[in-house]
Amino acid sequence: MIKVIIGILMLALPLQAQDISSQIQTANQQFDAGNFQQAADAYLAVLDEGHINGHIFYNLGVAYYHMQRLGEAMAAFLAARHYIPRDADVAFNINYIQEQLPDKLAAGAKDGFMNLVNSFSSYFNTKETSIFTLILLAIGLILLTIFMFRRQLIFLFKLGILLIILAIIIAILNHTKIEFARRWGAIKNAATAIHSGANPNSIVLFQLNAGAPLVIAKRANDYLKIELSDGRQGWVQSDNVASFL
Amino acid sequence: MASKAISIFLTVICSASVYAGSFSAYVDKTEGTLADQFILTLQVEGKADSKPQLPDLDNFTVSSSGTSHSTSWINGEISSKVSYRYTLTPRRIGKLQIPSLSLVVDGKRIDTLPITINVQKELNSPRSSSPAVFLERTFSNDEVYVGQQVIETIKIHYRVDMRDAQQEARQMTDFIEFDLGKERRYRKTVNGITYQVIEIKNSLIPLKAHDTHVPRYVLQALIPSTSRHRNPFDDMWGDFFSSTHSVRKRLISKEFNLRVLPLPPPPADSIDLAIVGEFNLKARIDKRQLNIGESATLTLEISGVGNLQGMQPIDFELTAAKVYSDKPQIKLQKNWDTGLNSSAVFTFSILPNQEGDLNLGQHKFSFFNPKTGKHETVTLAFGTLQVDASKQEEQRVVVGNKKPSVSTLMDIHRGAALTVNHSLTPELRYRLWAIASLLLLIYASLYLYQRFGKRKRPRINAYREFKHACIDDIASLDKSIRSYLCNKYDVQMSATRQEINSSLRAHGLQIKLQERVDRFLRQLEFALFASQHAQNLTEIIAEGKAIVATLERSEQ
Repeated sequence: MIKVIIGILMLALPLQAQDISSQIQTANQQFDAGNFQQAADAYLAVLDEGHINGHIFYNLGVAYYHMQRLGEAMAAFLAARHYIPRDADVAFNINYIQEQLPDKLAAGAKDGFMNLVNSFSSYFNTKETSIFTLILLAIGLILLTIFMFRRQLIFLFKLGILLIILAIIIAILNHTKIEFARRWGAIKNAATAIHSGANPNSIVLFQLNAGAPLVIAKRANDYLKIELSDGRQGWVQSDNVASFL
Repeated sequence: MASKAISIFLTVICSASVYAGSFSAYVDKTEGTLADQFILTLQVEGKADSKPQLPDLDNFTVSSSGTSHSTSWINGEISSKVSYRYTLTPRRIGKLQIPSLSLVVDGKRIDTLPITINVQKELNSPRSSSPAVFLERTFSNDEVYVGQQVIETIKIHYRVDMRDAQQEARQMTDFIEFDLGKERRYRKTVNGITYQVIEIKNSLIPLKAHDTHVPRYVLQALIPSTSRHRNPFDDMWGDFFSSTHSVRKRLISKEFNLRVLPLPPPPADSIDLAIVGEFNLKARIDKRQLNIGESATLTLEISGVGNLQGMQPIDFELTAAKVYSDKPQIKLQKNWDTGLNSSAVFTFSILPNQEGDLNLGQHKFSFFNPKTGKHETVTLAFGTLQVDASKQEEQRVVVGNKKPSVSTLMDIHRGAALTVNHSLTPELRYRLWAIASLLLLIYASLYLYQRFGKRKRPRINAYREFKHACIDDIASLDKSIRSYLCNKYDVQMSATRQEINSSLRAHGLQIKLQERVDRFLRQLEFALFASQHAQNLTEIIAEGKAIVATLERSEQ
């Protein structure tokens, strides 16, 4: 009986992968046909099914860009950067959009501890980091185990301890990134008013245009507290912000 | 050595005597009043036979003021100079004479010329009529409008050592007062007398229209006293810690009547009221062409002679654009020559919301110009902005729903990489935690086994093996006992009796029990190697079993 259940499960997994693969293929075909809205909807449908993939975010961003929806495009590229941080195309497209924006705002990390965390994670995503941490831990424990039976190999003990400490540090950084990750997004609409408070009666501090990258710091009712790379802060109606993180 | 020193001294003396000497007499001044004192100096250069003697000077009271000596080397020769100073106070008015004096210097008789001093009741020289310190105050105008600045210039003239000069505070109820910078110092000749001058400038802006007195300028300073009779009241102000006698004087400027005229009524279209001065308008805009959604910055600057403080913000509104104004920046600049200047800078951020040419309109600035005596209005047109549709709108119109030819944007990604889930799902996270926990558990188990299990098992089995061993002779007993001790106390099978004792001691066995084991092992060795002299085999085996049992109990 157990063998039957396992067999069904084993069969089900490739079926699901095959389904996702066909959906992605359909989305790409829509994109190639110039049906950018349909392509974007298809990419979003894949993501909604829980198949989180940085390349799909990237493709979504490209589709949005071709619809001249710079805000959504920037937000999608920022989400892609989160999952495939080493991808050169993502970085290039973010810079490409930034050059076209009237608001010259950086889409990078600020100073401080989170900068360290983000610098560390700018090369690996959380999944990769977690697996890497586990591998480090395993190697460290294997070395300690060998040392247990071969006491004269003291360097194995030292190396094992070093690897385990490294694994712990990386695990802490990764956990910090997961818990306190900057939620990047972008302004969707032109001449979006940034208020001093989370209500429409508060004064307008400044305006941002579509595509301006921002960090969502807080949410209150229909307003989002945003932080910009130049240090400015303010509240904006959530309808005006696109974020996929 | 001593003879050499004496010869050098004599050489110096001789050479000094060879130098041609001189004798002269002179006074510091030849004119004065009875209040003045004259310094007579008799100077002898060379070797004199005696000290110069003053003849009887009936017309003067003479007192010695000291003697000074100086010696110098000139062309390898010594020149000595002695100056005798006397203070002569005249006793009467008239031409008083100091007769010729004679003195033998370096063997020569030298006669000085007689000196005549003219003592008058009052001197007619400018010095005597000019005060040592005086104030001069002037104004740029004697008739101004309300709000128009008048520059007050104060010149403090002094020809004596003036110290601790301080201005007395004055109450300016009808004026706003600004100092026009740090005072200036220079020399100036007045009536032939050279004075040191301190010049101070203030800008006074009248607040009320009426004839008014500008408050006096009063300066206090310590000035050396010229009077021989010290005023007790001066002493109250005097500088008691100074070696020279000084008195504190108050220098007071004259009053000044200033006529302040009211401003004529402004014209009906005047916007800014009560701004008095002479101003210019300048405007600049950072860009003339922009897209909807972009902003242009218009800067309007009003500057000129006069006070712009208190100026109201400018209302600048456009129907086809949103206008955000910054806080105006009003600055005062002090100019030594022109007085108080000021500038006001207004900055507006303009965000057009309609396509096309945006007329920014004009700004009118009204002020009262005191030079012309009229209200004036300056008008400045800001021009137009050329507003285009936003880039997004343009591209949307052009591109429509077709793929644009954007060669620089990277194309979409394809292939198997898209099927990988990059997120750290909760399931994956649990799996990773489970694997990590399992690894740690495996390691901990191995560690515990290595630390305790390996050693415990032989110890548990030791007694079991001993009990089940077939012990029927001395050799089998020795082997079983050694095996037991080997498993139990980590001793080698071939260990000597001393090594076994050490191991038992290291395991903390009781001393009595150690001695008993030691005795037994000796007995066993003896039986093993000299079996013919050994005791009864049964007794030895029984003792061995008893010892093992005791060792087992002792551990429990």
